[in-house]
Amino acid sequence: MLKKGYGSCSAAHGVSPIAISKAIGCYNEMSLRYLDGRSVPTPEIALKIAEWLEISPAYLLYGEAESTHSLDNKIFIDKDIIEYTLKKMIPLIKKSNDELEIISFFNSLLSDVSLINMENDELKKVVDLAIKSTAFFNDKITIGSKINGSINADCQAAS
Amino acid sequence: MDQSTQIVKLHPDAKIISFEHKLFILNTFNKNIQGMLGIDYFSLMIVDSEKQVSFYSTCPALEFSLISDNLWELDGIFKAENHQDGAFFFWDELYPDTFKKTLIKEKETKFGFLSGFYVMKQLKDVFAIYSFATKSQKEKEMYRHSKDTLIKIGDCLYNELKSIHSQYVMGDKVKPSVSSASSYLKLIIDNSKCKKWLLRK
Repeated sequence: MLKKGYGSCSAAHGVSPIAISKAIGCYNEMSLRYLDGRSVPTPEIALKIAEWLEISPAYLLYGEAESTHSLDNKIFIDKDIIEYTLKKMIPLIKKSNDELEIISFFNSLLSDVSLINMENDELKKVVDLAIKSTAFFNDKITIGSKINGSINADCQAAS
Repeated sequence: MDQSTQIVKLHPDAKIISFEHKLFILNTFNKNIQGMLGIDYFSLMIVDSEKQVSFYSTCPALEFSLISDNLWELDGIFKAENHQDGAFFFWDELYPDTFKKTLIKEKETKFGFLSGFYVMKQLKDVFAIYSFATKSQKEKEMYRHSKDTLIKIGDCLYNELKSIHSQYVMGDKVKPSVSSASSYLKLIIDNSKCKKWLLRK
């Protein structure tokens, strides 16, 4: 807010509640409640404030860093999550004979978790869920070969 | 509630289904579709007769975040009035003006997509929305002109993914088959053949 020029030397929080009230159409008292944490804006109000400040609602509500995702394909992810995911992947890597499939899955999973704004413990649950989806590896059957087999069968039946 | 403004409801597991089947969905996409028309993302949205929606997505983080941040309710794709058989929409055509910037940022920019689009199809028991997105800089309108191809791609993926969906619906209802999919599968069994076929179009 300060960056956007909505600071106020006289306001207790350093930010003018009047500016917020004007922007989102609420009473000054409500803006004060948001500023000192007595109230949390509803999702719709949070979106209005976020749009006005040109920041993400997640950053407004939880203070997480803005996502670094962009067209350059780089991701921003906690080392702890990379380590956890790799540990979970090791048995699959040992069992799979499809290197590309493993790399694609690993890349996609890391990208997914890097884009979710949650605590690491919650992210680990998401990783666990996704890892469970690879249960087919236990039988050394890759899903890809099953899919191709199924398509082949469909085509043969159709021809 | 007036039917025209009715918002669909989410399947109780909508946030996590795509993670639970991540490898299957990803492989289905990679082996059959990736590279066609510059498509980088696909999500099958199934709206059942109870107006309950479930997703089968190659990028589950997108739907997960939309639901977690309560942004999904603001997106017009979740309004029944926009569910029209055979329709094509760019994602941003269904964003309300008030939240357009936020939805573009949270649904497209954050994931590196330059455009997203839907094609829709009424099946026997369910309404299918095939959602695609691309990171390529192709002319956006090209996708609108490729609607028929996109529907065929969606049909193909629907036929592959409906087995997952059947695990999340009550009862033993058999999901309807997409009639045109068998002939299309012939075309996409080999991506190179598929690309040749598309070039002829």
